[in-house]
Amino acid sequence: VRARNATCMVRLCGMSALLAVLLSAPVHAQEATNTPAATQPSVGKWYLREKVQVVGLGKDPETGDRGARKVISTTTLTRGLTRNLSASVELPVTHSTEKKADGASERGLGLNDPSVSLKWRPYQRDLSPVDSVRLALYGGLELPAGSGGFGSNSVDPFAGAVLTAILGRHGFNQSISYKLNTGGRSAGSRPGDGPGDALRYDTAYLYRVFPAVYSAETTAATYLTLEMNGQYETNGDNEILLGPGILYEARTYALEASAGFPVVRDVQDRAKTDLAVTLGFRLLF
Amino acid sequence: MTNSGLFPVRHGVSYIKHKPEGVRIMKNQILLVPCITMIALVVGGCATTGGEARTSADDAEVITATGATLVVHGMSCPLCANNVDKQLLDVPGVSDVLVDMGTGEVKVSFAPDATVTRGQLVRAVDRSGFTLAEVRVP
Repeated sequence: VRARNATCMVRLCGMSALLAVLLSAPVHAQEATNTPAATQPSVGKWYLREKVQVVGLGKDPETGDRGARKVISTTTLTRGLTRNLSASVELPVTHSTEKKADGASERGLGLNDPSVSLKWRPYQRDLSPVDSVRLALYGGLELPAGSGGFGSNSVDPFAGAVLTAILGRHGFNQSISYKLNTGGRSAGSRPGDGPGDALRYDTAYLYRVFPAVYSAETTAATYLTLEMNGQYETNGDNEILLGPGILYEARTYALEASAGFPVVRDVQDRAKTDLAVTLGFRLLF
Repeated sequence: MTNSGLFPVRHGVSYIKHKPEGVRIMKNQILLVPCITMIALVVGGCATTGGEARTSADDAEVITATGATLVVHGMSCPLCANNVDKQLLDVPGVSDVLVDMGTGEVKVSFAPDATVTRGQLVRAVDRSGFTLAEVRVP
């Protein structure tokens, strides 16, 4: 069954990649909540992003917990180093409430492994005032600085690529990345924090609902988003969340909200995700 | 056991908690790959930046008008277009910037007695990460 699901996952990735290629005639910088984009702040500018994700988890087959609720707050600070290169630091903090097998509740708070990364944009083609196509490569390290049982005690490198395309009111992002687990194991509060390596594949579509046409008076825009966020782990676990979202972008800040519903839950070594709701805030300065 | 030949399927926690020595050594060696990747990202990023935009003889020319209009491509959202504002306002002598995302026109106003060159405007747009299509000086 797992082999069949894995095959389906690979086919899904292939279809997503094909879709990306077909849509990549034109592109640029709309970024959905949980999918990377080939965007970055300009030289010398900072980009602060705060995301709070509430995740409902089912029974954990390893610990026997009946269920859990995790609130994961992720702070990301990015600086534009050159026109095509940026550096980021990410600090995730998790608050968990676990319902134990005996019915008791246990709470925990701690820092997940922080990460440092670089993003390089080797390809950019701006086709018109709005349309743009960009490709970025990114890579970094998850550092063993977690606390409260949420750290992995290992340096885990990761690398990926993302294609962003914007054509008029339509935006599209396709990202794929791989994280190598060098030996540690965290409490597994997030998919990919478990014992295996993790292949993450994300697809996002954004539609600008307002304004229909940009003008000199435009100071903000609102987008509806649809994301598919998948994570395959080399222990065989595979999970895909699909969900809608909304993004409000002003000139210096943005607000976002999204929900993720599991459409594939082929997970055996950790708790399955029942629902994920994310709220976020972005600031350019 | 394999799953369609892509990745080895590793069931069971015991495998993870007691990895064979060979696996650990291999993974340490694999760590070199991301290190090299990071170096490549830095070198590549700096190389493609090319020390900012290309310059020409016209770039040194001081613009005597009270402003200029730049046509910029790729500004697809308000937050990203703000990078153009910020970079142009960092140019000494630029007092105001008005972006029309629909046409890509960026109207730049200069302070009185400012000595702004075409090259400064070109470099500012380059640093913003967008593509400068045209510079119009009245």
